Amino acid sequence: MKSLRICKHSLAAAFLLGVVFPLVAQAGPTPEAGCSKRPLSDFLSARIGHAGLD
Amino acid sequence: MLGWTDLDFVNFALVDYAGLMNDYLESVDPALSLGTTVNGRVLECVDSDGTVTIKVVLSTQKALGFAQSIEELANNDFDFLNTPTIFGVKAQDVVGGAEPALGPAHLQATFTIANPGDPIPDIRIMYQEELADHLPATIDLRSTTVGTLPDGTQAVLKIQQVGATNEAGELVFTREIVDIK
Repeated sequence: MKSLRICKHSLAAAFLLGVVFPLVAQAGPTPEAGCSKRPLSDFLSARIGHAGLD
Repeated sequence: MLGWTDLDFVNFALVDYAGLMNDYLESVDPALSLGTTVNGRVLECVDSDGTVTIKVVLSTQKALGFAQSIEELANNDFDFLNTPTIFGVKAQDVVGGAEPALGPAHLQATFTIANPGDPIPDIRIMYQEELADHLPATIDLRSTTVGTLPDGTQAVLKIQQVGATNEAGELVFTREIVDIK
């Protein structure tokens, strides 16, 4: 029974790796409807430097 | 950069979710780089009513983090630079050779802007001073930083801050944790 359980786990892992994750990867971080991507730098550069806390 | 306090107003903490402190260290000396990486995305969404919402998701690795006592800060006129830390070290201390406390940080924020393509506001100024111009807004920051206490004891700084604006336009936090263990 133990080997059956291991086998089930292996199959589940294989399914996740082989089917689910590729589908997620394929879907990717596509923008939501009505949304467009802006450069990350638009947010990261919109700051007033307090890194030195001075 | 946003700083955080706990619900009881005992601990204050900063975590370098935007890589600002790392930029500062690299500007002083590239060899001081902490290897902080910032990834994520910024979406601009236009609703049918014309509202323009900015949705930010950041995932930061090796972010510098430190904490200070709010009581000590108050007694020191909130001189952040010259008030000692109770966990980790400040960027200036790293310049002096201190061992940094590092860890991952994840930030999600939403807020509105007036028109598509408008400049994105400074997040600190927006949340603390100009929130009324960017409603509705939400923020969710979570970080776990591994470092040491001033006596050298290993410790972990956990920050969890989750908030959203209410109908009155006030930012109400449902989670306010700045915990050192």
